[in-house]
Amino acid sequence: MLIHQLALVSETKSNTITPSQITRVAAALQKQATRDFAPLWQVNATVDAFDRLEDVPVGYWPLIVVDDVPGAAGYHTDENKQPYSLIEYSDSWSLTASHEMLEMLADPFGNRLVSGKSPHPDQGQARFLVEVADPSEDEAFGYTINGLLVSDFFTPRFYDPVTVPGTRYSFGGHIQAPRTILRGGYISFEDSATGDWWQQIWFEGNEPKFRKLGKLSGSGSIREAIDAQTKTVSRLAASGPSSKQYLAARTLTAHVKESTSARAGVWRAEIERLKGANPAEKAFKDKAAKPAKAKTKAKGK
Amino acid sequence: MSEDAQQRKERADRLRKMMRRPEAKPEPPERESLKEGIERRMRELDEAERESRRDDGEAGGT
Repeated sequence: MLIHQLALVSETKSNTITPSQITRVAAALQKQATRDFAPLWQVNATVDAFDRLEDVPVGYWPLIVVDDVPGAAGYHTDENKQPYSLIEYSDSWSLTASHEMLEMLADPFGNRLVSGKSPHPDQGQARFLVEVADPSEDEAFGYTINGLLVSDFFTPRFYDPVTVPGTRYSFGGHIQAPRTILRGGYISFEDSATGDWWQQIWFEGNEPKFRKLGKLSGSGSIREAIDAQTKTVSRLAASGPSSKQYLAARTLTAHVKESTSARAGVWRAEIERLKGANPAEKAFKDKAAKPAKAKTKAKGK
Repeated sequence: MSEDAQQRKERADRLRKMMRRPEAKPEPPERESLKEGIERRMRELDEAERESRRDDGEAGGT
């Protein structure tokens, strides 16, 4: 099976991301990709942190943290149609990075469509753009990995034709029915009857609403066009610090830092102890000594 | 610089250029691009919504 190889790298100028921070986020994303996402979506991926964009090996898809995302559009393709994502720096940039990573893994080229019943009451069949993190993208539905906030995502059951209680429609279990968005989320779909693109959005108010985008034309992937209008990365960057999930994650991060610092101290002490006297060396010397004693006894006879 | 390092550097430079000016991607001049089409449609929707609110206001908010 082909493995997707992702690179997490910072290109920020006015905000500092330390190597410690970037590697910790990369580790959390790797865990999410391997432990949580792969079993449900059958996609294998590695996520590695790199110090500079120049260090990213050829063939890796970059997740690039920047101070400001032009046009607030996260997903892009390069001149060879290979994907890369921009992540706007914020206090909760791990959430945005997770969101972009998950959507890149589920639909690397931004054109994956799945058909199903339209959520619009006046429409029939629709084709949904597969954006696994959008319906539950709000940080309220995220969870933490290694103390860092990551995004929820829907499972392939999200496109089921009927609702079955107890089905896992999203990883965190917040989505209770197929093709349903939560507060702060959205979904993009094409009305098969007319070819018009629509979105169901829930960015404000007490209930979701529909907006018509019209017919797509021109070059570029569907996802690039949708992202440019929905401004996901900027909304995620702006929303982080106010939620209970985010504040809980910050508290947990502080505790995790204490515990990992304490653990690091124990390991350093262990390394120093081994430098002084390696118990394994002693064991070999004792074994080597026994045959020599036996030979001396034989000579004496 | 090795060939591999050269390739990585060139790719990094290309990505930086694209990140700075995404709107500079070439589009056929004779037709509206995907992004332009949606931006135009969003402007029309926003304008329609503003007019609708203005009309509601003039009608006494009913």
